[in-house]
Amino acid sequence: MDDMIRAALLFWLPIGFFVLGIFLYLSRDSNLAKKLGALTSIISLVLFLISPLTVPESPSTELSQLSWYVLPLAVLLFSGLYMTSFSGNVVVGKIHSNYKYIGISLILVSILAMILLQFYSLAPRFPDSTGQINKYWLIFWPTFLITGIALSAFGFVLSENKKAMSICIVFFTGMFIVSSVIDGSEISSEMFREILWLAGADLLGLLVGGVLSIAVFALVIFGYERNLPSPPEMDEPTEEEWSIIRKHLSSNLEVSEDE
Amino acid sequence: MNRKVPMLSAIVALFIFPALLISIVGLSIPEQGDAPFKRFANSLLTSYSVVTLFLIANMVFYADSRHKPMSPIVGMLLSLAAGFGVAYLIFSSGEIMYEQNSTLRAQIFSNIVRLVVTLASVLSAALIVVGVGFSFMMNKNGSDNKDSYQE
Repeated sequence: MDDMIRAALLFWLPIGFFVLGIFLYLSRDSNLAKKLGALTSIISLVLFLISPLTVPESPSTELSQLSWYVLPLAVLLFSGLYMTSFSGNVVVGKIHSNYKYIGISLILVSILAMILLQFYSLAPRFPDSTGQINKYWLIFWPTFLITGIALSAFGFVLSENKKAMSICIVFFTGMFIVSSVIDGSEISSEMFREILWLAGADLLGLLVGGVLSIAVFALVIFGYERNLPSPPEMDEPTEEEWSIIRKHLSSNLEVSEDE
Repeated sequence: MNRKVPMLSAIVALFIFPALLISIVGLSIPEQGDAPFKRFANSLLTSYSVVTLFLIANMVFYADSRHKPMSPIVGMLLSLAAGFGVAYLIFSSGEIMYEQNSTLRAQIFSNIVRLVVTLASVLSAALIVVGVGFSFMMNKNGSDNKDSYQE
């Protein structure tokens, strides 16, 4: 089979079906459609994850190879944050307070693993290539740090929880400075500084493109909504309607007083 | 809660603080040519196209709910016009292909993968910031979040 068709069938099609499956799962009411959506998403995700083995000649499969590293860390991090949050003073879904320490350990392990990926010789690499580092990791890491710094600084100004946001700022800024000063065993500080501008350009482009698109559609909706006819004016309630309202109000107030 | 939200400071923190850090660290390296511009242009066009596709799908639901059958078509035409305008501005400023020998199709696929990676890293960072904030809020001392029925 042609390389391009193989890549389309075994890499791009699963990505499309994954999104479609999630859409079906979230948007449909029937149980059958939900199950079908979930099943489609799971099968597509598996096909996507094994694509470096099924379509090794496609350079885009470096994305799924990066997912092998990032997805387990994200799951670990999410579980840790869930355990620390829901072992606290929550009203609904509270879990045992011992999970707090397990959660903190999971968060620390996932952050340590990320640091090792960047600084130790564990950087993701394409299995079939000449040992080159996965080029998408070189996009992921600086973008992750820049976004983390921006969001935690934003949160620090707006949120009342300054301590949590300070910890985030210190972590992200610290990793940013360390990455740009200290050479890792695979990724040098100079390489990090070079890709920093590109990551910033990526983020800015993403933001401007998204905002522009939303502005165009807001314009369409604004145009249509402005032309909607105003609702017809209603007559004042009649004496009979007032008496019904009074009756309902008084019966409701009596119930409240009983409570 | 009647606290005045310092929106200007928040926007400065969101955009200026990271931009300042990138500038301080990034200025120490030699000239990079037009590589950052190419990345910006490709990222802009890709995110514009993907968000537009998503919004056109939503516009179909809007058309159903408001009885405005023309809205998806008007939306498509306007977004096409804006897209052509942006693409013209970018192409007239310079070449945006990464490599001279690569095809446009390869570049489009590469751009989509880059967009997915950028979105994944943004979501990961947001997960940490929101998650840590939520954990601290839920583990605060005191009985702010205690269920009134437990008292």
